[in-house]
Amino acid sequence: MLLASLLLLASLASQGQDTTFAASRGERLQLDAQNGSITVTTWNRNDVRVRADLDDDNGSPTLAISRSSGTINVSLRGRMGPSDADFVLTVPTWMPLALHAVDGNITVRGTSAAISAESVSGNVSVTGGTGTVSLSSVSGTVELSQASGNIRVSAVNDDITVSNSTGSVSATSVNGSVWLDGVNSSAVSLESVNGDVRFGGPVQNGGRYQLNTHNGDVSIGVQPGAGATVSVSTFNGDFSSDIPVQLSARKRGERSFTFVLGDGSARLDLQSFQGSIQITRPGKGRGR
Amino acid sequence: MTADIWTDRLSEYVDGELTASEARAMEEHLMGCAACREIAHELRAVARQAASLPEDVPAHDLWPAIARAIGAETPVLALRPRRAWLGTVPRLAAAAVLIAVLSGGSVWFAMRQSTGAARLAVAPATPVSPVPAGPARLTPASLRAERTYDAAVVDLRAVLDSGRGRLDSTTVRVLERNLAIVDSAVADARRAVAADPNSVYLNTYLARTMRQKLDLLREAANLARAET
Repeated sequence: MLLASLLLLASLASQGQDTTFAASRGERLQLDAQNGSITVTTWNRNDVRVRADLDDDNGSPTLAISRSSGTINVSLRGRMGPSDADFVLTVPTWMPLALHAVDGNITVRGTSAAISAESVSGNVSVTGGTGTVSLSSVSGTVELSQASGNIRVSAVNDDITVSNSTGSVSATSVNGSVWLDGVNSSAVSLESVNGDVRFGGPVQNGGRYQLNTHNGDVSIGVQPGAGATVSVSTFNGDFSSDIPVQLSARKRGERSFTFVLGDGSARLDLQSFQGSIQITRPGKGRGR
Repeated sequence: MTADIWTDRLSEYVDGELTASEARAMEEHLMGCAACREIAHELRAVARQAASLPEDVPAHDLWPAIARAIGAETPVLALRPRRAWLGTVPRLAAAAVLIAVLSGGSVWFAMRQSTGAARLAVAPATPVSPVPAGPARLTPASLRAERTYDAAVVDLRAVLDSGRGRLDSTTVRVLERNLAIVDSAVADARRAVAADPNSVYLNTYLARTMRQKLDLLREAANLARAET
């Protein structure tokens, strides 16, 4: 049964509103900014501060904050419907976040909770996040650092960067590069159509690493002593390795080959339809 | 004799369609080839997942129409782990697209997991009858996969077109540009498969690019419906 209660309706002056209210552990915050940016920082208080800086004057817009089934929903509405504003929030570090913007950047710093952040036409940049971390943008870049858990990141027309994070990572872009650096993971799936794909992080025993692109380069850093069974596939690309590898005779026209490093326990599946595939030593990957 | 000869016949082995002597040869090969053992294991897993698909599969609100269209000539029940849909290993990729469209992608993920193993080439120990060379036939499963893919593209494209007016013009341009990029990749993959129809990698890759097209179209269609 849904329990909905309107906590606050605040008429806003044309320049915006700043309000703070208490939150309980277990609650999550949901915000749809429509045309406006979202900036979130965290603090150690069990309070949420919301500041809405108005982009227009949509007939005395109202900041509505409601609770339903453990979700705090923040929205801004004027007489003509959803109103545009840039939101600046300060939330408890433990508070899960679900953020959506149509035309605006989303920036989150310092959260240690689950987070979902989607922007259609803006960049998404998150530092922190634990548990399910899901970020996406259609037209903008997606950057994530210091996250842990189940990480899913997607972009359509721009680059993805994930750094200094742990956990399973799935990252896909169509027209952008996908770069992971300093990522400690045993389950990695990186994919692009028209961009480079790189994994920089230790290759773990028994881990699985799938890197695939159509029209870009694939590179992966493999630390000394790592054990991996490496599968390389390309239609019209090339392969190089900073690590000595022993290939069985590659037959003419064969498009895939496999070799083993050390005990072969990890699986590396490297594919580029028409780009180069490179195995590097850690820290020696190609610069962006 | 190449490892592809073995992998090409694994699905027949899993289906129990090899002759007794061929099956014995395959089993001898499997005893010494961990990669092929894993492929066989994964093929069985895919078959089990296909068999476990509910008859009225579509969960996405777009899919009932697609399922009805397919059901007119091929009931979903036909997706049992029989040779008719398994086909040879290269063509499994195409069949997987059909399964993915109908099941919302869960089986597709399983296929993606299995395709990595399919590329593990290990020299065979004992030959079985090689797959005939030359252009690959499209199996009924492959044809159904192609038709299903085409139908899904048409349906999703219709949703996108109908909601185009609700999207920002810049977003529309971005989506169209990226759809063109994926289309180009699909075309590249199709040409590659035409040139080398028995390549496991290329068949799998073609299916992957088709899945990428569907993923992007789904995302675009969802945006077109959501941005009201």
